[in-house]
Parts: sequence; structure tokens; C-alpha cells
Amino acid sequence: MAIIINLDVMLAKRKVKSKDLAAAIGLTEQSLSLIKTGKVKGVRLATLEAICKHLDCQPGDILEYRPDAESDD
Amino acid sequence: MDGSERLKRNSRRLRWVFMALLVITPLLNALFWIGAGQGEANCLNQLPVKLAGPLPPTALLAGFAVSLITTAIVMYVLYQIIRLFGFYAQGKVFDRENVACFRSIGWSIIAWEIADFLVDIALGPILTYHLGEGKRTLVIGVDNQDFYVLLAGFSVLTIAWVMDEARKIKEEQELFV
Repeated sequence: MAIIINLDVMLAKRKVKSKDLAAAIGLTEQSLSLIKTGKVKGVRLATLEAICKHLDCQPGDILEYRPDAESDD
Repeated sequence: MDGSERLKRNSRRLRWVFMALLVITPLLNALFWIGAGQGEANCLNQLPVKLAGPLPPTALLAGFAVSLITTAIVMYVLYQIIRLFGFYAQGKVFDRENVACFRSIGWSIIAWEIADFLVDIALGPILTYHLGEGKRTLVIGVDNQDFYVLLAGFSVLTIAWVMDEARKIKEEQELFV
């Protein structure tokens, strides 16, 4: 997929653990792991909003469009 | 109580009902043949051949043994229904296991109908052999019930297909977070 998810980068920048983010935004660690590894088919706007709010960032900090990126599938 | 909890609660209750049926089914079959052995009219009237008196022990045992084929299929269907309600009781509604249960039930209903047809054919000679030459009977027949049972079986298989589509939608939805 051409959309790259840089959530782990933002987590490292903000020094927030995955499990803490998951608990804060009401997701399971498994769901958050799916987002981090780009294995999701889509992210709801409400989820994106909650992530950005907790990590104090913009959607563009987490999502990146890279047309040359090969699909993981 | 929300819908999900109600589903789980009702599923647990129905599971117990079908577990009781699973135990009762072979007992009823045995009681039926005991009744036929004693010449009970209610039992004899349900046999595929007309018999006037009680059955001799050999015919009784052979008939009971053959009837176990359809009884076993019925018990398997009940077992799959118990499994299905067990999954519902755990909150699993659109999972692969549920689809597998529906498919098993559908094919088993069709298998039961075919087995019942063949068992009825077999019971004719088994139950009349002791009457001697000229009185032994072979019965081959189909009726409305056979059609409806087959229709039910194919309907359940179609439902299994629909449930599989629901499973795919659910799995797709799980990949949206």
C-alpha cells in the first residue's frame, strides 16, 4: 500500500508506550499493533483524531503517501 | 441488557435444551423399538410396513440396528446445533466455526433424508422376513415430507453461504480500526 503509517516514529518522539496510547484512545494493543504495522485496511477518523490528540501531532505526522512503496500484501 | 447479552443468555438456554434432546433421542429410539417388540399399535403404525403383531427378537434387533443410522445422523445434527449455540453464547456470531456448523447441519439434513429413504427400504425385508415366503415385503416410496426435508437441508446450506459472506464482512471490518 502507498500509505505509510509512521505511528511508531511518533510514539518514539513523544516517548509514549504503545500500550499507554492504546489504553488512552480505547483501542486494544492488538488493534494498535495492526495500525503500526500497516496491516489495517483503514483507520476511522475518530481513531486518527484520538491518536493526534494524545500524541499532540498532525495526521500528516502519522500518515505518509509514498507512491513508490511496495505493498506488504 | 443489550442485544449481545440477550443473545448469549438465550443461546446458553437453548444449548441446554438441545443437550437434553441429544440424550433423549437415542432413548426414544430404543423405547420405540421396545414398543414395537411388544406390539404397541402406535409404534407399529409408524413402521414402513404393516404388521399385525409384535416383532420377534431377531427382527426387532435388526430393525433397531438399522434405525441407529438415522438416529446417529440426528444426534450429529443436534451436536452441531449445540456447538453453534455454544459459539453464540461466547459472543461468536460470524466466525468460521459458525459457518462450518451451518454447513454440517445442512449436509447432515440431506444425508438424513437419503439415509431415511434407504433405511425404510431395508426395514421392509428385515421386519417381514419372519413371516415366510409370499409375505415378505419391500417398500420403496417418497412423500411430501421427503421433499420438505431436502428443501430444509438446501435452505440451511444457503444460510451457511450467507453466514460466510457475513464472516467476510466482519473480518474486513475488523481491519478498520
